[in-house]
Amino acid sequence: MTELEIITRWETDRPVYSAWSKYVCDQISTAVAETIHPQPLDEFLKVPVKPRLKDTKSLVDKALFRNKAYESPYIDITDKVGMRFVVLLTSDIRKIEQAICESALWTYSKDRDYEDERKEKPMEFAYQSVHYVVRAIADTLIGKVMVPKGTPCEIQVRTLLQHAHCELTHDSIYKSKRAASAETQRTVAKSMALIEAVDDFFEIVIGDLDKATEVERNALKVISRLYAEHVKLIPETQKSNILIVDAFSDKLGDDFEPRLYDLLQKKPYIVNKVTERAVNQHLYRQPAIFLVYLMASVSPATTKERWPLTTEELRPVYLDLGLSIDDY
Amino acid sequence: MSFENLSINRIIVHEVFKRTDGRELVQPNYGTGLVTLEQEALDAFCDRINSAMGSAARSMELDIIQADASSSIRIAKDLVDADDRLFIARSCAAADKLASAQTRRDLPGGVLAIFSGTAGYPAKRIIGMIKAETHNGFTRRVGPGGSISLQYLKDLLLTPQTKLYKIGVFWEQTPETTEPLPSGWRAFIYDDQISASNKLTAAQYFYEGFLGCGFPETSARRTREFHDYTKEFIQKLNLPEDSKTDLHNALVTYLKVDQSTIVQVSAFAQTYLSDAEIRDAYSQFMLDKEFPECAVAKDLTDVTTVLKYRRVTFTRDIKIIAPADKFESLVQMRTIDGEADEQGQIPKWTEVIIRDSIRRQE
Repeated sequence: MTELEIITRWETDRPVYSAWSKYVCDQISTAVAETIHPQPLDEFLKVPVKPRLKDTKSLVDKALFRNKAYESPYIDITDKVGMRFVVLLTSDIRKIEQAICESALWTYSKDRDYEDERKEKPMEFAYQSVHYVVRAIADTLIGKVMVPKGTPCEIQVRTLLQHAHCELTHDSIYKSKRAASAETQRTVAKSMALIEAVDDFFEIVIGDLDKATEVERNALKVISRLYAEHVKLIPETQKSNILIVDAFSDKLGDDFEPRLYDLLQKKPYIVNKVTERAVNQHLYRQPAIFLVYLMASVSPATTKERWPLTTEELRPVYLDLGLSIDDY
Repeated sequence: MSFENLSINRIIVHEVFKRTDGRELVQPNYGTGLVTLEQEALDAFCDRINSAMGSAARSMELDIIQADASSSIRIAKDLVDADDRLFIARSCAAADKLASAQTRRDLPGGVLAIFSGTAGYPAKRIIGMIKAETHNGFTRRVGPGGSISLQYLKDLLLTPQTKLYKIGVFWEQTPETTEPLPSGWRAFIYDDQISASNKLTAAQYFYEGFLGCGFPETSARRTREFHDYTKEFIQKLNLPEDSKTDLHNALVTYLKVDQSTIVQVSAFAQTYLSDAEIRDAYSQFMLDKEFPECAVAKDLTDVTTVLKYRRVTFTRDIKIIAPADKFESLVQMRTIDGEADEQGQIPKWTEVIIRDSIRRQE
């Protein structure tokens, strides 16, 4: 294929690739957003995802002038359009991968995997990233554009630290064979090694923190479920819930769910009061309010002491339960 | 029984006046319509009632003695079934009864609020009568231009801090009963004067003259139970012996020395148990023993002998017996580390100082 042919073809194809990549991006984003709920997607992704079409000039450059042995360069270059997902943790990479692999709208192939590369060359510390190429499984109409079957799109998935390393080195160190001295290359390798270690440390920290708060998180899940069941509202997820659950975390115990369920059965007016007040009182839209009723009914003096918010906010709960709050 | 799930549906107020200098009755000023309150005001009203009648509050269950045609329980029974018009009309009888019960000249007038509602789960009907004395206070007033000054208010009533109100609540338990009154009903009274001082006569006009109630006969037994159960609780506590000594002393003080005419679990807990967890454990312990949460009239008849002497027994059969009221001042006990034995273990000993000389040895 000549230079002119490449240019002409690319100019014609651009809208198709653009539509396809936007579509892929939206699909993956939606799928991931569901997995990570209630965390918002724009907090989970550390760099906003923006599919990018390859510049015509660099396509020509890559196809014909960079000594890569492409049989049919136009077809073989799979990153004519690509996007990058940058996340915080290596375990987050799995969530993106899951969305890529589970879709019925495309076939996928993993073109690069840093974990395989680590296994093959364990003593080497170089560029690390996960690369996929997804191809439309059938002719797909997106808006007014028909995307033919097989249209490729590259997806890179990296951690934030891997991304930083890449930003520094990729164009300078890896593209040119001679620009960097041995010393520079070694420095780059050292930083990659360090980044890999830090990524591992981050995973360990998150794992430890998750374990440490497991009781509280499970309790909150139970309470939220009971709240939705009884009050028939979707409970809010504000931080005050965690504040309250933390204050009483040592009083939850293993039988927390049956005790709470029991309380709601024995005193059904609690649900009525919560439903009533949820209309215009923020605290009653938080599921942790059920925990407050349970704690107040079982240990009123301790609850009053440990209550992290104001006593006046606790007063109506005590009133409902027939407890004179000032006497505890 | 718990005043949970409180709900008020009707309120009416009348004003009752103190007697003239010639001890003549002044006719009350009767309210003619039901009081309507906004939700926030109604919540505050419920909060006052809960502060007085809720668990741990200083309210008391009394026996209903008077049940004749002119009695308050009879008025309550009429009110609970009445429609609005009859509610207003019949409640005037309560105002009259209070006015006639206030026979002494020094008894102040006040507002009599009568309310109907439900409490408890399952909900049972209640009729409440609050006598609220007015007091004065200040409010801040923001003038034109944002200047702040004070405004004097003369007729405040039912403020939470001062507790200048007395409440009597008649609680229907079994509406379908065919027994004559007062069967099927319970009465609860809140009156700071009953609990605070030894002068029961001052409060008598309200609980006896007006509401027709009297102290239950179980007071002596209940006071004895309070003593025994609390002692048992202290013994079981996981605290050092020194602290337990202090608590035993506290129990004796509370029963013998304290001027209060009532005995109550929450009152003892609040005054003498410093840790919230221990207070909760104590409440739960007494609840499990089925000891009432509300105040109980203090009657030391059955306890005096037990309270006379304090006894401390040591593991090897050494005993110290001293009069209970002088125990703290005459006998000082302190836990100390003893001499190490052959295995090097250091036992716990008690150092005892008796502020007295030996009279006789055998």
